[in-house]
This record gives sequence, structure tokens and C-alpha cells, in this order.
Amino acid sequence: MIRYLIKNNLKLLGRSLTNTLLLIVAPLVLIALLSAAFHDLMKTYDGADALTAGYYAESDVPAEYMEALKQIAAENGITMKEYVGSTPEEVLKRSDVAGFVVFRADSYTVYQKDDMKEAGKAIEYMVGAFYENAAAAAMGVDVSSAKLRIEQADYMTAVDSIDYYGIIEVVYFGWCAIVCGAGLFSNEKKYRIKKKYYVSNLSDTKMYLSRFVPLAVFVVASAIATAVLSIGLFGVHWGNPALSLLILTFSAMAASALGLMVYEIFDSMVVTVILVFTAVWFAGFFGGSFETYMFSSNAAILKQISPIYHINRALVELSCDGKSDYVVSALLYCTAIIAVCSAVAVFAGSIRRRGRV
Amino acid sequence: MSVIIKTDFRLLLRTKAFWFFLLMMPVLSTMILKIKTDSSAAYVKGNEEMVKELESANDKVAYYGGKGEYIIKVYDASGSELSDYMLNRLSTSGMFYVCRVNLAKTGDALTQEFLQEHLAKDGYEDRMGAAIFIASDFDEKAEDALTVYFLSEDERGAALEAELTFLLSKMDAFLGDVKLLEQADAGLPEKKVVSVAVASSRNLTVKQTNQKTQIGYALAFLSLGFVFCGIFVAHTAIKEQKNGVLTRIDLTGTSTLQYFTAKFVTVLLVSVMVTCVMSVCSIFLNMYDLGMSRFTFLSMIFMMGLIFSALSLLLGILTGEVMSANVAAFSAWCLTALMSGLYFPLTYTSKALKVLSFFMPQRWFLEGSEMIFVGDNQAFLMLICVTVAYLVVILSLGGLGLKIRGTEEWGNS
Repeated sequence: MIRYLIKNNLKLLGRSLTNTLLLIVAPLVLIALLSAAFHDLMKTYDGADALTAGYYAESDVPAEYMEALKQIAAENGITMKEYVGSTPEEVLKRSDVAGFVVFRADSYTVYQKDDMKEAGKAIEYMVGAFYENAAAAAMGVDVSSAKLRIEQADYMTAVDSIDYYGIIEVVYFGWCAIVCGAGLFSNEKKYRIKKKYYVSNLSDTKMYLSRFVPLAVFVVASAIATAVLSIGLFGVHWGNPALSLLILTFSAMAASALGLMVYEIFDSMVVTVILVFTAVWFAGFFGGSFETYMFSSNAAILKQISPIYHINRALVELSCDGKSDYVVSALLYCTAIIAVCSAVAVFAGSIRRRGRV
Repeated sequence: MSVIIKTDFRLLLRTKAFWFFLLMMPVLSTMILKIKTDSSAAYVKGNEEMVKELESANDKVAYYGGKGEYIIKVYDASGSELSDYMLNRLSTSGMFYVCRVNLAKTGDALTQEFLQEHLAKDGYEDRMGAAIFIASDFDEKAEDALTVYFLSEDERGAALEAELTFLLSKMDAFLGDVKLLEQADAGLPEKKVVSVAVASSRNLTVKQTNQKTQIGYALAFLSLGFVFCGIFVAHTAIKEQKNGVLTRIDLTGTSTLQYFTAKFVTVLLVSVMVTCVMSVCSIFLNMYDLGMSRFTFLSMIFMMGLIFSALSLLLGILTGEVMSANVAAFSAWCLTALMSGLYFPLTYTSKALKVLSFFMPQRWFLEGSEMIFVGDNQAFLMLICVTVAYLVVILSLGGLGLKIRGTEEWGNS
């Protein structure tokens, strides 16, 4: 019997433009904006293989120095090109050199482009190291006598902002699932369809399932669509497809269960939306949906309470490391939410129904 | 037509909420802008080639790497002159950003548990190139008291290894005597680093880039007052539609164009009122931070405000419901501000987003401010043309919307 209800509800959910906007367009817009905003913070150093640096040496700098410097630079992948007669600023603006150095007898100035800071620093470092090594050699110091102790440690591979925000925005909007059902459920109330359900021979569990299944299916389908679009539009890298899909499915199911439970208890869509959005906002805040969970300094206990933290961490670590310790905890947490919320929802629904009938 | 304007104005002036928004929004916006302005001192990064002292071992260092710097977190249990010397040389070499927590000062002991606990946090809950642990007996044992853990696959790690080996060997050769080391270093050529701004084709200086950011925030916050005041005018239009007044006006032979022009003139006058309040509030703003004269700044705010008030009017007429008009106007303001590059630069967005940003009015005003900074006299002309263009589009759509909305109501709703 409820097969028909499920199909019907699913069709109604799919026909609403607001739902598409909320679950597909909004995450994509936010992914674009947030990944651009945090791009600089999360970018990994792109080791440029070959840099060109302009230079000008004043007449009182010994020529052998410059020759030695050019050779050392070439060994480190930096080509030094001499520019006579132009100011450093002009050279930096006109050509694509990464930096410019002016050498004098006992000082030097490094000019760096402010949008190629790291390349400029590499040049600065190379020149500095050259002078230091030359001075040390002159003093007869053995510069490799020390044996540095280097140990291995585990660390998370750096994730860039597009991958990170591409993944967590899909998860976050999935948790706003109940809003999709808002139109559907409030219309059920308005047109007294609920009363008709009450006098039918549907059990409470079946009634709950007739709402839960379409909502969950719709949210999962939208999340997958958004994920696929994010791969196509932004080049987001998702991890292990099977596991990611599983986690996304459970996340959407948990969100639907939570939203439905709150709705069954309060019977008012406005209150439900307010409560669920607030809860999801806090869960997202501590779970790394706004500021990355790696960099935030919130207490660990608050992070662990948020289901979104476990889901985000599992998906992000699957994407960059290929494996994650949080997959199990994410799935278990979601299962617990589904079980508890469904039970409470059915119970609340039955009390409300008995009150009438 | 003048009757419509006068009536609307009287209605507006009688609405308490309108006065509240007229007076309070500019004040609030200026306050928020003032807070933002004061914190802009942090924009110009001070001396980057110094060791950054951390207050506690639990401080995260990820945010110091805002532009891809190679960050090193040093847990220094020795706090000795020698470790100071080494870390200073490391940070002035130019390639690394050194953050140090002096464990002698914070009172933590460098035990194995401490090390493992912090290493796990550094690897998974922070972001750095490498972590260095210096034991308390660094002065005597030198390289044996120092351990490096590489926490990223960054290629500059090789440079760190080379630099540390060099420094430790040199310190060995000089027997750890800091005075001798500093004397030897004095013989090295002096280094100066200059940063050249080549970001935009207009060659803005660093100061001008900061000013542009400030103008961006000013445009974002100060335009909110205009949006709300425009909404009130939209409310009068909506009520007239609902109460059947529009139908009666139509029967008097007033054309839709005249009606809409009357509404627009009301919006214009309201915008002038808001600008006047804004000019009083702008006394509290530092014009130096904004880089232009008060008159120029206020004219820009007026023009942008006019565009947004007209947009609120348009949205009000199109939606036909008070609540929806509010939501629509506010969302339009939010979204255009976000997508026009006011809150963060659009340098790394896709081409599509960059093109889309040119549809947002704020983007053009930012371009105009850049032109004003570099002294381009065409700036004002461009801004006036842009404003007129937007207004023409908005007003045409508004007139169209009125026609489509129709005049079916006779005042029953």
C-alpha cells in the first residue's frame, strides 16, 4: 500500500523548483565562492621547476662572485638574467621574471612580485644561502659536519580548498533535508490529508516510512547529482566511490530522520525548520562546514558530538588519504540517529494519532 | 503625478518603521564599517622575517600560512641564546616562517607523551611544513638535542634540511659561542627585501589596494540602508495594487509610465534623504582610509544606493507580497555583494564567475574607485553611465511588471 504513497510523495518532491535550488544550485554557488575565498590559505606550494630572476650588479661587485652565483643558481633551477638600464619595478612589470636582485659591494636588495611571493622568496633564499656558504668556506668551516635528526611522523595529506568545500557543502545541504519536505508536509496538513491517513488502516510505522523513504531518496539523489556536478564543474576529487556513496546515503537518511522526528513532535513546520536549521548550523560549525575542521580551535569534545564532523572528516580523509578512521564512526553515528529518531518519530506520531482517534 | 508623489511621501513619513530604518541603518552601517576600518591595520603584514612567538603549545599555526608560506612550529624547551640565534637565522633566510613556543616560559616539559600528543595534533589538526623539537640541553648537545619531523610533502623541506645542517655545522665550528657567530655574520652583505605590487593592470600601490578593500566594505554595508528604504516605497506600491487604488488611479487616465515615474521620484527623494543622514554619519569615518574626498565618496554611495532602492522597488512590484518583497530585496543585496568581489577577491574563481561579477553594480563601483585612486578623470562619467544604465533596465522591467500584474483587484483582498 505505501508503495503508492512513496511514489506519489517522491513525484511531488521532485516537481518543486525550490528543492532543486536548495539542494543543487545553492551548494554549487557556495562551493565556488568559499573555495575561491579560502584558496590562498589552503594551497600547496607549487614548486616551480624553473624560475628566472633578473639582476643588476653594480660595478664594485667582483665579477667572479656573479659568475659563481649564476652557476649555483643554475644548479638550483634559477636562471639569472642581467638587465641594464631599467629600474627593478619596470622589469618586474614588463617581463615574467619571478624577482629582481640588485647587487652592491656590501649589500643587496631583492625585489619580489606580490603575486609571486613564494618564487621571490626562493630567489631571496638562494642568494642568501650563496653568501652564507661563501663566507663559511672562506672561514674554513665544514658546512656539512652536523648530522640532522629527522624522524617520521604521520600526517594528513594537504587538501586544497576546492576539494574540501566541494565535499562538505554537499554534506551540509543534505542535512537541511527537511526543508524539501516542508511544502509537502504542510500541504498534507492544510488539505486534511493527514486526517484521511489517520482513519485508514495504515500502521504508524508505515505512515512514517511513507514520508521517510521519499524524503531520504530525494535528498540522496540530489546529493549525488550535486557531487557529480561538482566533479564536472570544479574538478572536486572524491575518495573511494563506494564508501563515499555509502556515507552520503547514511548522512541523508539521518538528516531526514532527524527532521521528521522534530516535525512529528512539534507538528509545526516553522518550529521544525528553525530547530533543525539551528541544530545543523551548530553541528556544521563544530564539524568544519564553515571553517575547516583542521584549523579550528574548538574543543575536541564539541567536534566529536557533531555528526557532521565525523561525516566531513571521513569523506575528506577518503579524498586526500584514500582511507580514514572515521568511516566506521560516521556510519555508526548516522545509523544511531536513524534508529533513535525513527523510533521517536513513530512513537510521537502514534500518540498524536491516538489523541484524535 | 505630483499628487501621487506627495501622497506616497506623506504615507512614508507617517510610518514609524521608515524613520527607524532611515536613521538607524546608516548609523549601524557606519559603526560596523568603523570596526572594520580599525582592524584593517592588520592588513599590512608587519615584519614577516621574524620569529613569531606563540603563547601556548596548543596554538595552531595554520593561519599564519595565508599565502602558502612554509611554516615551521618549534617547540623550544631550551630557550637559550643559541636556539634564539638559530631560529632567527632560519627566519631571516626568507624561505621559512618560524613560529616558536618557548616551553621554558609556558612551563611544559618535553616528555615523550607531550611530543607524541602534539605531533598527532600537528599532523592532523593543523597545517605546517615541519615541526622541530628542541630539548632543554640544546646548548651542550646541539644537533643531538634537536629533532625534525616533516609534516608535509612540500619540496621546500629539502631546503630546510640543508639550512639546518648548515646552521648546526656552523654553530659547531664556532663552539656554540653566540657572540662569535654574530660577529662573523656581521661580515655578510646586508639584505633588503622590497615587495612590488603588480597585481592589477592599474598598478595600485599596497596602500591603494587596502583602500580599495575598505571602499568595498563601505559599499557593502552602507547600501543596506538604501535597500530597506526602497522596500518601504515598494510596500506602498504593493498596498496600492492590493487595495484597488491602482485601478482607481488607472481610471483617472494616469498612464502606467507616469505612475511608475512617480514611484521612482519617491525612491529618488528617499535616497537623497538617506544620503543626507549618511553624510552626517560619515563624519565619523576616516576619509584617509578610504582614499577619496567626502563628496566623491558620498556621491558614489548615493548612486549605488539609488540603484538598490530602485531594485527593491522593482522586486516589490514583481512579487506583489510584502514578505516576499522583503526577502527578495535582501537576498538580491546579499548575493550581489557576495558575487561582486566585495568580501573576498575573485582572483581564483572561474572565468564564468568573473564574467558574472560584472553584472553586479558593486563591481563597477569598485572599478570606479580604482580609477579615482589613480587619478583617472573618466571615473565619474563612467559611474554615472553605469548608474543610468542600471536604472533604465530596472525601470523598464518595473513598468513591464506593473502592466503584467494588471489591475484586476478592486479592493477585495
